[in-house]
Order: sequence, then structure tokens, then C-alpha cells
Amino acid sequence: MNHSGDPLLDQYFLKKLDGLVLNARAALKGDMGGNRKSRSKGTSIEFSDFREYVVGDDFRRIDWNAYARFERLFVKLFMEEREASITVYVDLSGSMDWGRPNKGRLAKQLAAVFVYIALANLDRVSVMGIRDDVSTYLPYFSGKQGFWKALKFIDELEFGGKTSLSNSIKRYACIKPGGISILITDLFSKDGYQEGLRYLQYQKQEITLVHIMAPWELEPELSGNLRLIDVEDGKAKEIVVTSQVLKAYKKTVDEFLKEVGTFCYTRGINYIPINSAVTVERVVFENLVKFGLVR
Amino acid sequence: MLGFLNPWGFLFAIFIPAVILLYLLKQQYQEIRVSSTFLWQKAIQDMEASVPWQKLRKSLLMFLQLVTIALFTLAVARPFLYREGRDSADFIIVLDCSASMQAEDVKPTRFAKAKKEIESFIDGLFPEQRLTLIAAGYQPDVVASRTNDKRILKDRLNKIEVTNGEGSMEQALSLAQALARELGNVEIHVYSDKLYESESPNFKSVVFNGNGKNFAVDLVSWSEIPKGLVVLSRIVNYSDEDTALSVECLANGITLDVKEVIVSAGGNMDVYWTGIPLETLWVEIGILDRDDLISDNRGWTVINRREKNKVLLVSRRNIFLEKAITLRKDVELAKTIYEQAYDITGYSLYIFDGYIPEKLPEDGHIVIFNPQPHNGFVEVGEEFVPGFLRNPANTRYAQLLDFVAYDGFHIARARRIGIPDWGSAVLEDEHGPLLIAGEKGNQRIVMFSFDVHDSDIPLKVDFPILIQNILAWLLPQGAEQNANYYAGQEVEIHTIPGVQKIRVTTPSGKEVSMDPTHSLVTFNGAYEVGVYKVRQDAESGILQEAREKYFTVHIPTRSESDLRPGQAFDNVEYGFRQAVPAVHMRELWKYLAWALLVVILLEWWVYQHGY
Repeated sequence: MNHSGDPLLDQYFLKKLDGLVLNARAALKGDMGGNRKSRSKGTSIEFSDFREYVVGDDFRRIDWNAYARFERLFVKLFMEEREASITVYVDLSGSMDWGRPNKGRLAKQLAAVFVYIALANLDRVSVMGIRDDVSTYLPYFSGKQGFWKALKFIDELEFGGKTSLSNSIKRYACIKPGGISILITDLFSKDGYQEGLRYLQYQKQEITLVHIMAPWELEPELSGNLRLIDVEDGKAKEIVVTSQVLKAYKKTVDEFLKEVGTFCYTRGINYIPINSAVTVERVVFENLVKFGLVR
Repeated sequence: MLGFLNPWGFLFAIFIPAVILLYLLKQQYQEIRVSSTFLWQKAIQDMEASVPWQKLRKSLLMFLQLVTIALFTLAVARPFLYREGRDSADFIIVLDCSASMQAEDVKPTRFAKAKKEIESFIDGLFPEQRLTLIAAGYQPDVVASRTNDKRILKDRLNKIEVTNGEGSMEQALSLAQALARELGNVEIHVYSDKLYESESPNFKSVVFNGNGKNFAVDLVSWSEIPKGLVVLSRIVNYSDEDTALSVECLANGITLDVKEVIVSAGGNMDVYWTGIPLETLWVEIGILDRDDLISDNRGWTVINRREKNKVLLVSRRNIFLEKAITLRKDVELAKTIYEQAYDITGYSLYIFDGYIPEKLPEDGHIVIFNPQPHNGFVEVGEEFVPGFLRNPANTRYAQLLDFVAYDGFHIARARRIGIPDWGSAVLEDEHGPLLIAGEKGNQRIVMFSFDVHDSDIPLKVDFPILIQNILAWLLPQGAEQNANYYAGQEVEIHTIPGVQKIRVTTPSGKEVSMDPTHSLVTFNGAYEVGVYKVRQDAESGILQEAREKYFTVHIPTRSESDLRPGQAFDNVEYGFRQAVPAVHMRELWKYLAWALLVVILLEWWVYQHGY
């Protein structure tokens, strides 16, 4: 759902994304440089298919012979690159549609960005919305012409309901071993997140965990007697907010972030905590680039 | 026993249910939708684990607020504690302000302690009880009369000062008893250092006496011996043990000598001081040792070495008068004849016998015998033969005829004199005055309307008495010879004729100006002990140089210096026996207010710290 009425990503921003390459594996192996390049050279030998050129495709891959013959632009597709299948998991629970700026919108924008970068690099992409089960998903596809369809799909995702991260992940049958999994969530999950991440690793996925928190969740401004109502299950928690309580809450948040960070680090998962107050542009060009996830 | 001055204050208690109600209403939490209560739950769990009584916090604040209201309600109701003795509607307090109340055997002093006790008594008064406060100073003084205004009572009480005098307890008690008879249901409380007793059950005596030890300079006097001056001082030991004392002697404020004397318990010791310079004006004797009453540790005497009074007699010849005048030793008599008696000055007394100069001198007193007609001073008429002599009633100058049997006088002839406006007749017959006395400004004048040679008076024993009476009035010896007073006494100052200004300087240096228009002025400010200086000066004219005299003011040591109680007291430890419950009523709201403040601070602290 598009909250602001604006498109999720504008053309200008998409242009800027053109030069970026998803670099998860390189980042994992710690040797970012030439690995993917040499791989792409090797894979370019094994021709797979043709498809029509769409704006945004690498024009170096245009088959000029085919153009001479049909006077239409075709790009060659290669087998190996298609193997890099990327799965973007978007947390669609009620808690994501919350916060100012809205966590859900940033999650959708990031999902679109990952899809775009993946398609630009001729990777296969699937988008999956998760709640307490697999709710909706976009099966693997490739080719830049598929982006607009994917963008529409992402834009129309609806938030609501509870989260069962681990359960949803395990239930997604289409997952391809050996791919890249990108998880965009706030980690407020009934059944935790660890089991799901372990399952993905079992499926030989290279995992990136994008953890979105709203500014209010990090630094709540509250006072007095309050009844906190969980937007997911409607359960209430009565608290009397004092400086002590606020202190304890901040401590809990810090511990939670630390705990997630430690878990990811020990299991070789890319962990990217993000404050929803930051624009998607900054997330991409600062957080992701800095982290080496894209380059 | 406990009572409440303002039971309506308990109406404030309705705020207690109000607070409880507010707390019940407050249970309505403000609802906030959050993304997840997951972290909050965790945070609270952690906190509750570390602060076990977190859940009590709300109720603790409520409890503190309830306590606050309860305390406030109690304070507004003005509770008080009281003891028996609240029957009387009126109280009369007599406070002894005599010199012995200055003693420090009861801390800080007897007087200060008594005032403090009275103040707490005032605090303990019920609103409907009224108090009359009598200060027994030099005179009994009703400083507050039948008032229940505690502020006024305390204010008046604070203004009462202890005196150096012997107080006026007897008069003050009579006054109090007279007032009590008038009022009826009244209690008299006496605050003194002595025990006063009365038949009346409504009479209570509070005694402040610490059985203090005291030494006093009881007497200082001087005499002149061929070698110089000798001063006698008497040191009295008002304690129960023999004591060695250091005594100093000062002349004009400069230490001359210090002696060590041993004075037996309850006894006295005469100490002589010699070698005092002749020009000394006053001598001070001081005890250097510390005791419980300081103001009687010093005594003074004024050295008034007798000066001769210069008297001028203007006469043809009057041997009777000369003899009668020279009977007084301090008179230096000069004689002259009428012809030389013009423009004369410099005498204390001028006696004109059968003659009045054109211009009367103004620097001395005047006696005139047998004035001649047309003298320009008094109106003189024809001669007459006096018959039966009488002393007109109510004359101010009857002292001139003390011990004089004037009914035996026979006078052959006298002159009729109109009584001038400054004088009055002292002796007269039906035809007119024979002896006139009066004061013209500060000049004293005595006039005989006959020649003593024309009577048998000089032959009688009464004549020298009459002349000495006249001299005693005109040239008083009192002020010079007895210059020692007790504090609070009136001091008489004899004005020197022609003086424009009289100033009295007190021992502390304060100057008091007196009106010199009368021949005798009274100084009423002798409250301080020490040496006073009287300076009389003429700004212009006859009296060329100022005349300085001194007088001294002492504590009445006989009545005030013995600090020991007359009777034995049961409770000697404190040094005072208390027959009156000092506090009838004690209000508690002050303590409640303090407690209230503490609770409010505690509440604030609890709120701030979130416990």
C-alpha cells in the first residue's frame, strides 16, 4: 500500500541505482574485488537465451548480429547468471505499518531497490511477503521488463496481522538453494527469528538481515499512566512511565540489537540495522554501500 | 489532654475520599498503539525483577498524599495539649525588675529566664483568657492591661527592661491585688527572685534564684587628712565561703592601686586607700573577680573638697548679722559700705542691709534688710508697727522658719512692702509682709521689711537659726556633700544664678540638657550606675567659667546584692521553684506543619525517583 501517494521509487533514483551491483557473496568472502567479474566472464560463454532489450539493460550485452538480422535489439542471457537467485522477504505484519516515518514504506522501497539491482544484474528475483505464514509472493523471475510488474506487486502489498518469521520462511517451498536471501523486518516476531535464519542457512542462502526500527521504538517519548496496545494482536500492557522505566526500555532495546547483531555475526549473516527516519537513498548509498552489500 | 481550637478544620478531611476517587479515576490509562509490546514487556519484567516494590509505587504516592491531607487537616484544626489550671479567665503577672534580677546564677540571667517563662505562659493562654502585665521597676508599671492579644503581650514583655534599682514589688503586688479584687476570677503570678506568699489560693510565685554568689562594693567615702585624701571602701561577700578578692582603686578613671583582700563568708571588709591626689574629682572602687551580679562590683565617690562660699555684706554695721552668718564654716564673708557697693560681681550671696544698689548683681542670690523707699526694685510704703506675727498658710518657703519661734518676736517698726510677683510672704501681720522669699528666674531673693536693730530678734536664740535656714536655702550644701544616689532616685541640681545651660552627662556618655530657669532642677534619668557629670555654663556674662560637678549612682546593695534566697527551696538544681505550670496550653500546629513539609518533600522525592 502506498501511504504517501508518491511512487515508491522515482526515475531519478532508479537511474542512480543502475551502476550498483549486489555483492553479497563477495562481502561474505571478504574479497570483494574481482571475483564476480571473472565469474561473469566465464558464464558469458554458456549462452542460454535471447530476450528483447529493455531500457536499463546493459547495452554491452546487446546482440548486434541479431539486430542486423531482425532490426530489433536483443540481449543474450547466460545460464550461470540466472543461477544467482535472490529472494526478498518483506515482513508484512501489522507492526511494520507503524512509525513515523513509516517502517513499512521504507521496507517496500528497499525491497524494490533490491529487486531493481538484482534485475539489473540479470539475477533471478522472487519477492515474498510474510506474516504468520506465507501470505503472498512473487515467484522467481528475471529480466528488467519484469521490474515494473514487481514494483506494482510490492507497492500493493498490504500490512496487517501477526508475525511468525521462522514459520513463514520455512513454509516457502519455492526457495532455491544457493541463492541470496534478503530479509526486511522489524524482528517483532512471535516465534523469534533465529530458527528461520538457521533454516535459510541450511538452504545455503547468503543472508542479509535488514532490521528496520522506527525512531520512536528506539527513543520513545512517553510519560504518565499508559496502556500500550499491540497493533498486531491488540493485547494491552499497562505501564506507569517513569524515567526508570524509560531507562529500562532503552537498555532492553540496546540489548536486543546487540543480541541480534551477535547472532548474525557468529553465523555469517549480514546485519544491517536501519532507523526508519533515514531516506531510502541514504540507506542505499550509505548503509548498504558502506557495508559492502552493493557496490 | 488534647483539644482542638478550630474543629471546623476537620472539614478538610473530605479531601481524603476525593484523593482516593482521583486515584480510582486515574486508573483510566491513556491508550497508545505501539508496534509491539514485546520490548516493553521485557523491559518491565527486568525492572520489576530489580525493584521488587515497583507495583507499590502508585499506592505509595497515594498513601503519602493521604498523609499530607491528614496532617494538613489536623494542623487546620489547631490541636493543643493542655494541663490543669485553665479555670481562671484573667491572669495578672508581676515581673520583678529589680537589680538582683540581673544575676546570672540562672542562665542566661534571672530576668531573661523569667521573661522567657512568661512568654511561654503567654503562648499557653487560651483565646478567651486575658493577661495583665505589671513590671515592678522603679515604679510599678502596667505595661499591658487585660488583653488576650498575644502579639501585643509579647511585644510589651520584650520592652520591659531590668533596672538597677531595688524594684517596687510591694507597690506592684498591692496594685495587682487591687486589680484582682476588681476583676474577680483572677490569678496573680509573681515572677521574682524572692518567694512571695499569700493566703489567696489564686496567688502563685515563680522564683528564679540560683543561690548565686556575689561580692559588692557597699560603700565608698572619702575624707581629707593633712597628707592628702583617704578613701574608705567596704567590700561585702554575699556568699557562703571566704573569698580572696582583687580590688582596684581608680582616680578619675586611672588605676592607682590594686589590693588583694580576704573577705569572710557573709562578712565585710573595710579597705582604705591612701595617696589619692588632691585634685582627684572622683574615685572608683572595683572588684575584679567575677561573680553572678556584675553591676554592684563597682562603687564611686565624688571628691567635693569644700569650696568657700563667698558672701558680701553691704552694711553700715550689723554685728548680729555678721556673727550669725559666720557661724557657717564654709562661708567667706566680705564686708563693704554703701558707697563702694556698685558694679560688684563674683559672690555667691549678696546681703544688702538698709540699702539697695541701682543695679542689683545677677550672679548670686540676694538678701535685703530694711529696703528704703524709691529703690527701683520693690515698692516701699510708710512705716507701721507690726502686731501679731503669722506664717501664711501654704507658703513654699516654710522651711525658712524651721525651728524658729517667731511668735516671741517683737518688732518696733517695719515698712509696708508690696509683695512682688516673684515672691511670697513667709512672715506677715495684718498690715503687710515682714519676710518675703522668692525666686526671680534662677536667682533666689529673701527680703526683710524691717531693720533687725528695730526688733528684739537678734537677742533671741532663734536669730542664728533663722539666718542659717536662709543660708541653707540660698547656699545649699546637700548637692555638694551628698552626691551619692541610688539608681532611679531623683537628683536635685541647684542652679547657679545666671546659668543658661545645664547638661548632665551619663556614665555611658549620653548628654541630657536641663532647663536652667529654676533655681532647683530635678534630673530623672539616673538609671545607669556610675559617675554623672553636671556642667553648668553661662554663655555670656557673669559666670565666667563653666562649673562642673559630679554625682554618682549606685545599686542599692543592701537590698539587692544578696542573691541567696531567703528560704530554702526544694528544687535547687535549676535554681528555681516553680509553683505555676509554666505552660497551660501548647499548640501543635507548628509541629504538624513541619511534618507536612517533610512528607511533601518525601513525596516529591518519590515522584522524581519513580519508586
